[in-house]
Amino acid sequence: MNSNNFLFLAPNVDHTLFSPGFDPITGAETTFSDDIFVTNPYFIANQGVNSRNRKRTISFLSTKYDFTDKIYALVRLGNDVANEQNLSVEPWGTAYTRNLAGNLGAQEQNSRSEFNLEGILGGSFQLSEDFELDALAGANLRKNEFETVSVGGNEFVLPYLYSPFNVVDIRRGYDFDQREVQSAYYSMDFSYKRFLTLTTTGRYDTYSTLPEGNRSIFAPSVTGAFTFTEFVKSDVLTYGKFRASYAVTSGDANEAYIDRLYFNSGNTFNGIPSGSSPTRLPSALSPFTTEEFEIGLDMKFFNNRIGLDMAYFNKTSQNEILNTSFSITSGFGSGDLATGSIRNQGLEVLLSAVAVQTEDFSWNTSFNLTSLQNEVLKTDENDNPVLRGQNRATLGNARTAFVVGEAGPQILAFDYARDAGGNIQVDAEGIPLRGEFTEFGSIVPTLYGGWNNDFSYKGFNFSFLLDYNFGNEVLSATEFYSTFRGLNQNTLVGREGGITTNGINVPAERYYQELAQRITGTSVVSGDFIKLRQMILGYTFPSSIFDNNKVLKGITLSLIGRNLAILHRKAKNIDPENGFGSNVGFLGIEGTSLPAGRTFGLNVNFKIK
Amino acid sequence: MKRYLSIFLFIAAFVSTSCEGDFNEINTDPNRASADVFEADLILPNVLAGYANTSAGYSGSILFQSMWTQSMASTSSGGANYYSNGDKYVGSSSTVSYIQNVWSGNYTNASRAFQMKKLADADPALSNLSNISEIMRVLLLAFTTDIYGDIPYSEALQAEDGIVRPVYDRQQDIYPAMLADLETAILGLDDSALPPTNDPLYGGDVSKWRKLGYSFMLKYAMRLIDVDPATAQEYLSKAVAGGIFASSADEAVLPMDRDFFPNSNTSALLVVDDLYEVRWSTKMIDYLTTNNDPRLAISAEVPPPGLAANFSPNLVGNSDPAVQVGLPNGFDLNGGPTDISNEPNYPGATGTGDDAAPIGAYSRPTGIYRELGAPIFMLTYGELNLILADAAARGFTTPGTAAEHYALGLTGVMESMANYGESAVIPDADIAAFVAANPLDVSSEAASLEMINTQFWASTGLMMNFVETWSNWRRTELPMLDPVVYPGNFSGGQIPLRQLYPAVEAGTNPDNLAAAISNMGGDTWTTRVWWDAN
Repeated sequence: MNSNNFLFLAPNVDHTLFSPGFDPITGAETTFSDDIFVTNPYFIANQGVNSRNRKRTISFLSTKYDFTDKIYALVRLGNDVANEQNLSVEPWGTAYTRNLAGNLGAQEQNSRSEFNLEGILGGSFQLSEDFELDALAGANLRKNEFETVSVGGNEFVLPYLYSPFNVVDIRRGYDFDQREVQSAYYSMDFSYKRFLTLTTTGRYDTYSTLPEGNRSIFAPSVTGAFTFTEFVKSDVLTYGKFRASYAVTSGDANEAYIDRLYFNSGNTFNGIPSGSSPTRLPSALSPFTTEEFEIGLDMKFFNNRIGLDMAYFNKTSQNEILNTSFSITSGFGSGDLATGSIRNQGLEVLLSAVAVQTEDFSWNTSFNLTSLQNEVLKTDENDNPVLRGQNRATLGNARTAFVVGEAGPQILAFDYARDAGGNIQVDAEGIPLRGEFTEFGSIVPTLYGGWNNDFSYKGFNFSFLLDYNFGNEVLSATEFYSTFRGLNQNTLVGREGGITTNGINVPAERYYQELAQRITGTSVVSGDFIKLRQMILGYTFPSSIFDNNKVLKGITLSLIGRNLAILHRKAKNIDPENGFGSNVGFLGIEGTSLPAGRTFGLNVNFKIK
Repeated sequence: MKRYLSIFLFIAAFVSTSCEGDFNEINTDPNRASADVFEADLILPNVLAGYANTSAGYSGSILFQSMWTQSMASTSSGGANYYSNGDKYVGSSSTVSYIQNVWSGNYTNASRAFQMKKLADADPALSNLSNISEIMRVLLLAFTTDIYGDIPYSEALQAEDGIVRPVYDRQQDIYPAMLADLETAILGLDDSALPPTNDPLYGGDVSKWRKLGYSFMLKYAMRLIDVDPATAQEYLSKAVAGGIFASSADEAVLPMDRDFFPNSNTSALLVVDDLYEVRWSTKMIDYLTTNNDPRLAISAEVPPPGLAANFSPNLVGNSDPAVQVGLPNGFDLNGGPTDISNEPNYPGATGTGDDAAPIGAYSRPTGIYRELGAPIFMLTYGELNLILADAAARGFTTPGTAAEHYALGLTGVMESMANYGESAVIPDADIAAFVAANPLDVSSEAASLEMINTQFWASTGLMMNFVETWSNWRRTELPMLDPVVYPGNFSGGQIPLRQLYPAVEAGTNPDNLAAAISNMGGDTWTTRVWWDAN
């Protein structure tokens, strides 16, 4: 249930008119628009029930046995268990439910766990006076399990009793999966006189989610670092290290049971058992690899007053497993491709400085920058675009997709049709014609980073952090709906007298509604922004106060504010960081959510003797 | 202590490391059936229910075709403004989503039918199930091509063989292929082999499935009267020779499951705004009233006066035929020139003051249409005979004369109403009397066709099989309908002749979609499908 629907109210209507959102006698929702599926936000605020409780226990046990003072064995056991209890309902009185009787979405329990058991045998060896070797060999067992049990139901019988005993028909849900990975690895770390190091690692992983014969893979890496200031000493360059590395990592689809078709058999039709076949295509998968090459330079100047850390990286994935949608006419709506290849390359820079340092006052600043170039190298054998997400506004007429040769995912949408002179073409009614379904830019930024400043004066400290992000586009449902409903500033042109193109006049409402639906490229906005991300103001009490205190060693108070301001953005109607949620397939798509709120907090830190 | 703990952990580490052989077991879902365990006939009820519900409700039928054919009407105001798509051919914010429901629903179900066939083919004992799956696959795709035109057929459903972007076949190639596939499947049915279990339609009676197959064959063959009359006659004769429905007892009417697969027309009508806004049209009520049709009393009612009463699904209205009034198409409640109060025969609002219902005096469907377990009429004996009457009148070779088929057809459609329940049964005596009093007008071919096809229009409308009403109207151009011309309509002031291709295909199968649009001559609401030549 979307509680943001006042987004679509005309700006001169006071939304408090629609409070409390329901009839106090019957409980029926007070609808406020022409569409009963646009739920009254006061109704949701006052009557909505959606509770989530999660208990998570992370436990860790580790033991080390020293055979000698140089050789040891280590065993580690870690268990992460999260148990959730969720209740979600469509409340009694919801306008679009049958008989306004709401329904029971789910009363569910689910548990998710990850168990790791690791054993390592290692030691450090002095190979010669100048050469040292730290080596280890180990094995890891990782088990993941997920189980959910839920009951749901259709409409409620008695009002406001949100229980599985109070529904007309009960429904059930159950899901279970289990995955395991077994790994073995080694690491050897050579160092010469502590300024030259060379590390090599290797890892062999076997994944349960992959088919037999294609389960295992070996991934090596090698890293070298050279601290050249051992030879080149100067007052200006106090520390300098050059590093280079090449590493391969592997992974699987992270989803169990996708290697074959599984059928459902749990329904009935008028008492007759009924089942169905799935629409997700199983495919032959193998582990994917990511190869990364990196070179970097870490330097400190003027006795660590200024620091500069730069790195260039080039990371390419092979046999990447991409989930994609297919045309349902093929019999399947989705599936996985195991032939993807994507490359990320770029530069990372971190510049830090102690700008001012006196007895009472100091100012530390650090600026980081990442410049990124992403390119999709391969999708399937014919290099077809791999579709990702869409939103309910423009549906299939605007998608994100991996397109070979472009930064990915790209936003694909319909553009204007233009004539040879570049002018927008219109139809007989005067409305622009739909042109090509084409790329509108990537959802991945090309330049991003932040700038942090810490000030301290006597016991006080103050810091602020700025974030910036440039180069990405966002597919915005808010842009579509606000144009369709005449709430967007762009729709002011032509309110009186209509819009005339090539002598044909169209009334504004018809023009903008058709424009938003036909030319879905109008829903694409820039994702550039600069934000004031965080400010902290704190005070540490002088430690002399606590000299005689038996318990406390110190107290620090801090006021923290986050998401404080958007200093710059190109998108006029949305917070460019908005998205649907954490589902990777829908990244870069905004779905009329409210912008993130400012948060303010107080931290009190006690140090105990 | 620490030493013993360490020793214990070392042993634990060695013991719990399992071998790779277990991985096959770990990656097998313990809660669902794979192909070797699953029983193919479990899919059959789902495919039938899917076919039934995609032909009804918001998938299109009630939203589009019911009002395109002017069987129903709506002032499409307030919470039910989406009925503007049907009543006035004006889009609403979810039009893009509604037009694709038949496409995605039918291809999903066709995929299920295809998977069912694959599973059945693995076991020679399941030959009847295999052929029934094939029949359902053809029927699902036949329904789809009638709505959209050129669609994937020969390459469809074969993603497991690597075809993820099937070519869109031209409808002139699809129809012969469909009819041939249907014939092969029907001929494969064997009365002496194992009947299908889990059959909600015919309870496993293979001989009835054969009749269903031939009956649909006849119906689809007769779509071709304008473009390929020779093939039409060929399959008409094959169907008659093979054996079509012999009485209402054979017909394909699927009662729905109120709990898990409710009738999607009912689900729509139970949304209170739809209950208020969706009414029988002037044309429908006038036709039934003029002819003193006994079905009027069971299908139409005027709700109790007042707005609150109009929005209550559990109140029974007045179904006295004398007070029924149909709502004309093309009006709204906006207070302007097209406001319903400007309608020439406006009966006035019912209720008073704040409780006044401007359209409260118009007839709406009775309670039988609001039962969640109401049946879906896939193909009835009555319709089939009306089609045969139409064929006979046009000079095709049919078992009986046009008048004989018309009488059987009229009897059949009235008998079929009994599927709605006890309150919808018309006594046999009344039916016989009505049929005797209303013989077919054989004074001219045009008069016969007019009478037959208008009866078809009304009968399929009363059975809420609006897509069939629309297809038959496209085929015969009867009854004559004047389009609603309303500002902002998407079909240039004409009654739409097809639904647009779904938006999603532009992303998943762009090249084949573009080729299809080019072959069809456009992707508009008024582009004609191949058999709709006139």
